Amino acid sequence: MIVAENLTKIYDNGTKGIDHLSLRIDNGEFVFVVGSSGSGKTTLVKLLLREIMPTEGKLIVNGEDLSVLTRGQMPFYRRRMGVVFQDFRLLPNKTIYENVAFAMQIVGASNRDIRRSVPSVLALVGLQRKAKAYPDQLSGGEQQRTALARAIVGKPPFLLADEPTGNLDPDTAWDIVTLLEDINDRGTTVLVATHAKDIVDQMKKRVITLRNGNLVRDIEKGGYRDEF
Amino acid sequence: MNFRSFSYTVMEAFRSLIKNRLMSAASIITLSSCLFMVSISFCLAVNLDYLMIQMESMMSITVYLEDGISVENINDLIERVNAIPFVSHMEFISSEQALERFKADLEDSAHILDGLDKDNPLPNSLVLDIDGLDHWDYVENSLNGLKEYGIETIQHGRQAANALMTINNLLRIIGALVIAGLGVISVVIIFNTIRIAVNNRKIEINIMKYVGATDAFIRGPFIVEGMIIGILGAVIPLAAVYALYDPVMNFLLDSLPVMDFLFRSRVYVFSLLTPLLFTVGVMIGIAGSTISIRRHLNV
Ligand SMILES: Nc1ncnc2c1ncn2[C@@H]1O[C@H](COP(=O)(O)OP(=O)(O)OP(=O)(O)O)[C@@H](O)[C@H]1O
Ligand SMILES: [Mg+2]
Repeated sequence: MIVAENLTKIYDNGTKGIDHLSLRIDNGEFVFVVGSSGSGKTTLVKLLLREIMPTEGKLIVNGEDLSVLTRGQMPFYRRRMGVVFQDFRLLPNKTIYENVAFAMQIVGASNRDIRRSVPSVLALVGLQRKAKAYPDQLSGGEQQRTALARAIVGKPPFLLADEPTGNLDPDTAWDIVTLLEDINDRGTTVLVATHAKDIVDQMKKRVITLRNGNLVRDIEKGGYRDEF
Repeated sequence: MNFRSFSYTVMEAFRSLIKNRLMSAASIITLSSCLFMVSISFCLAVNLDYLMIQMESMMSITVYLEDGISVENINDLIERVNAIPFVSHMEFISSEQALERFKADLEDSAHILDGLDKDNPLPNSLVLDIDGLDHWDYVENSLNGLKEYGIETIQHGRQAANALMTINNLLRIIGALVIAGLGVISVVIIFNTIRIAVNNRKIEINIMKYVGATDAFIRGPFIVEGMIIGILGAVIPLAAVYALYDPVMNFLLDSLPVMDFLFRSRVYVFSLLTPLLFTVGVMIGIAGSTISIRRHLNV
């Protein structure tokens, strides 16, 4: 369960990324976070990953207050947060296969487990034939799918996806969203920040709308821009 | 650390070395050059010290005794000289023995001394070895105080001793300056090499943190990489010194007018140099990696 209370992030230059946001996401939910560019979606994802610290307010994940996480606890917290970053963040010196395997190596998975899991996850995102390529040899959409494969290979209880369909053609975008839904069906809480109007409208999931870092709408089984 | 993470760590270290081979080669060459210069200084220092020890042992004070001194007086004087501290060895050479040695030194021309046997002009003497050049003055002063007990003259190698001491001190100072200078240069070069390496890896370290890797897991391969660079950085100068030591020393022996001095053997030098270079190399390697990633683990 994710609980935000009066969550506020003011960047060093004075810009408000998130402004007194309060919300609650239960385990097992599938949530779209929408809003125009600069509304604070990425800021929320970064706060959830504790890449940045809130200026004010609280963020509690499964009972753990993120502001009191120690340095030693942080890696273990982050392993439970599968993340697809808006800028992918793949390791440039590792192949696609190795990038995905890395998420398993850090938790000390055996080589046998890695050899079994990685190819099947790569197949799931349609990248089995790119396993030996390096990130800079892939298209934006392929890098994005690699990032998704890395996020889900460890079967984390939470999955945060920032624009997971941003660089994809409509068909592939739908494949990815269907994949996210599958993952959600298996019990993972999924939060997707997106601009993809069609997808949000058709999925009929919970939609949280941000504007200037604030929550302006929160609708069960909503669309991208439902009537008020 | 279990075997899985250990093998991951070592594999990653080698992969990274190969992947960044230009950078790795630059670090290894830098380190090798510095350690090579350290090796040269070390060889010089070891051999100069050895030379000094040999010279010190060759230097002695000769005390000539008065003509016609009685046996009791000789024994009395020997006792008094023996009581002077820092005299490590004393030899009494009678005038007859002195003549014999002189003849032996002249070898074929010894016949020119024929006839001197009856009227031997050489005095009785005491030859003193002194325990360290520093104590030369002290011993000499003590001998001067014993003049009334039958000492004719004291032939001191004082000037030679002084010159030797000056050279020794000068070489020590120069050696220290050279090593200090090399140390500063090494640190500056290695620091810069590391800074470049850090910037190359900043993004990588960040990503690893966000995906949930622990500090130890991230640090491991970098440290092993530093160790490998340190070991290779030590092996190269060691190999060079091993190949060059004997030829250079033989060349020096042939071309310098250093009579009968000995140089330290290659085996002796290596028994000291090998652990020294490996320790320094690995320490610099580990320190470099640790410093280079510490800042970037803070995310
Ligand atoms: N590092 C930063 N320093 C200063 N301001 C920032 C920083 N990152 C984001 N911002 C600002 O915070 C606000 C929210 O940005 P955020 O990236 O969260 O928007 P977003 O909803 O993800 O937008 P997009 O849909 O374009 O990805 C914006 O006004 C942005 O300019
Ligand atoms: Mg964004």
